[in-house]
Amino acid sequence: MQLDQAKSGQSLNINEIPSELKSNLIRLGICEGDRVLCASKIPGGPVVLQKDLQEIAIGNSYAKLIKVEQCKS
Amino acid sequence: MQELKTKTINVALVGNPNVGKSVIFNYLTGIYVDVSNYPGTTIEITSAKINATEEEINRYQLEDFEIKLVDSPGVYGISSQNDEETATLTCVEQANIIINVVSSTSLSRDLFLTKQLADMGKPMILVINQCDEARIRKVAIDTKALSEGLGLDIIEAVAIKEEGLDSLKASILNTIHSRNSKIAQVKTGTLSIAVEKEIASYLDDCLTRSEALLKAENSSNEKRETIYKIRRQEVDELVSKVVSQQQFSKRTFVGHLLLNPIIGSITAALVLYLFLFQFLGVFIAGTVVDFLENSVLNTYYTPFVEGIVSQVFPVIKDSNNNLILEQPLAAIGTMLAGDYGLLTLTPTYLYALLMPLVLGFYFGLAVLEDSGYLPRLAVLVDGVLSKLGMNGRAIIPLILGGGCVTMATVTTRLLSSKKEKIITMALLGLTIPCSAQLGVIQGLLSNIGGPKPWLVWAGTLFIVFVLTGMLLNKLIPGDGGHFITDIPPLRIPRINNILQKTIIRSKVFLDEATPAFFIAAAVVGSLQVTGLLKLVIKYSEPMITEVLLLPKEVAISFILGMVRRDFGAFGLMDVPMSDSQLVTACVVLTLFVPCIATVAIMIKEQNFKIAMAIWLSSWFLAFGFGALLARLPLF
Ligand SMILES: Nc1nc2c(ncn2[C@@H]2O[C@H](COP(=O)(O)OP(=O)(O)O)[C@@H](O)[C@H]2O)c(=O)[nH]1
Repeated sequence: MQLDQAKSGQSLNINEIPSELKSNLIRLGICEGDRVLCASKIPGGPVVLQKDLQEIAIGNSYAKLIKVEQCKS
Repeated sequence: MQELKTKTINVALVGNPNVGKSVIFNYLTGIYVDVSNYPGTTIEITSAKINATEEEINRYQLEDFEIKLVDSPGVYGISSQNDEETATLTCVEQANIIINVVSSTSLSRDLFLTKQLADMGKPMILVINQCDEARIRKVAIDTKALSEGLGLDIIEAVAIKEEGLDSLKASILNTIHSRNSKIAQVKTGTLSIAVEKEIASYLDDCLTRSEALLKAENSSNEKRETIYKIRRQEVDELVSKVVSQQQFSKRTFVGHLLLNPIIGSITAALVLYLFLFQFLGVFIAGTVVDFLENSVLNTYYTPFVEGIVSQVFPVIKDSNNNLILEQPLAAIGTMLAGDYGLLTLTPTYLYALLMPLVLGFYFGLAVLEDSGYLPRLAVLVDGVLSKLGMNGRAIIPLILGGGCVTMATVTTRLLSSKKEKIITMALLGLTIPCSAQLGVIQGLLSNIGGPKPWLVWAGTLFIVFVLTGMLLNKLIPGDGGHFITDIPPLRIPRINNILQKTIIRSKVFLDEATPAFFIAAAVVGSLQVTGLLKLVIKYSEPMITEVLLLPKEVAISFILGMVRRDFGAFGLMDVPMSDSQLVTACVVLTLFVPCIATVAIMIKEQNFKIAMAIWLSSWFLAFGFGALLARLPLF
């Protein structure tokens, strides 16, 4: 599914990041294959991802471009 | 005689945002800082001398050296992707020694920059700061292994408790000593073999390693991705080896609540109300400005200057005649010390009104910023702003506009795409009342009493804000910039840090804005002494009485409002009006043209055409909505 459909509290696997976003997200610590937690989702707005002790918000238009998969924990 | 110090050693503090660079900077340098504006941006670069004691000078043989510490803007990488990165890159290139500051709580993110810096091959020291937060979260870091892995000396610090900062200073001085005397190898960090391969072909054509590295990184998207991936892998591997307890921690309860759509929005509304309305509008714009303007400047300064000027030139107040022809000397006197005097009114405006507002504003902003609230606010509003062609980041200039629209217009530089810059600028100019104006409007509306006039006023502005945003979003091609942001943990702000930021930013802004305000005063002053002001007022009266159904005395308020937005509103206090007329006047005044200083900045930031388009549309909006409101049976 797309990241913008994620719900708060879900554990996610990042499957695919479009190339225009890749280098930006790699610098913040997120790349393909990572496992992250969806910490919050503002309706119609950004998704907040948590990896380790760190939180990153990704705007809705970008979140639509990122493919993720919910993982069973 | 003491010999002149000849050589300057540049030491640069580099790190991600919010890792504690400014706290470290303040500790190492004391209070005497230089602020320079990085060309073409609002990015301030602070620098100051590190003072070594007599004993340190002897021990490290620093007699002939001056050590300059530079605090660079916080960045996640240095590839010239935005103004901050370009500025930081310049700092790094000019530096002889780099102090890379990272946070113990976000090593895997922060070390990415460390790796990039190490690839540049400069002498470097790594500071792991905020170690207290790691302890609280039970994260343990094996610094010995990390130091070996990176090939760098590591200093653990808790900057706010000054822990580790003395060792940092010793380490800096020692590095300078080793570098000068060449007795010991200076650590520059292990180069990554894989990255080395990628940049090998660029090394021959370039003077420096950093140049080669940047050329390689910018040569193509694929190349950059490859290099970034290598770095990320190396960092992740290292972090998994040296950091224990890498697991999801429970984030703090409050931080969580602030990102909750409902609770977050209520908090945001409350914070903005307290900050913009109570603190700025009522306390600063009301109480403080009132005191400075009436009890200080108008009691001591203005009469004094008027006295001096009037001994040389006649000063004529309330004059509408063409003084240039009739009494040239009086024209000069009136320009200097008359109603819009360059020596009387302009300094009063700058120091009694603008300065307290700007200080108060930057103070509040620094509190919001240092506590980590600002990025959370940006996250909350991103969804809404993206429908208006902007993104979450635009909330910063929009809030700033509630302080001073001129100041906010300067800040639109920080936005990334041209589209969001123009939209933000337009919305600022059209719909956001600055706090000078807010103070006066508050006075007018509370004369009527009850929440209704407020609701009508705010509701109209809101409608105009949304409609204009949506319209511009449709009209201007391109997209409003996308939003990715890192959210720092919530922290209790530190007063030293906040005061320092407040003072530095206010100074940078006032330096830039002062000429604009003098020009504005000169323009109105000359309109007055040439008699043109009288003509303008006479011809604009029908617009006021016929279109807006307001008393004709209001005309002068509007004309003056073009110069200084709150100017006009003061005059309104004395004109008798019905409730409906008062609300109409307040709405029109808010929507009406931004002040001359703002227009000057708009021209500087964008161009004359855009500034004029915004200026002219505010005429239409103000009079259109004013005419409508005047005819609605609301009161
Ligand atoms: N707990 C803790 N907070 C710190 C420490 N050093 C800095 N801070 C806080 O971290 C925030 C960011 O610091 P600042 O110096 O402005 O970061 P900069 O953006 O890197 O200049 C401020 O709220 C500081 O008070 C530390 O060692 N421990």
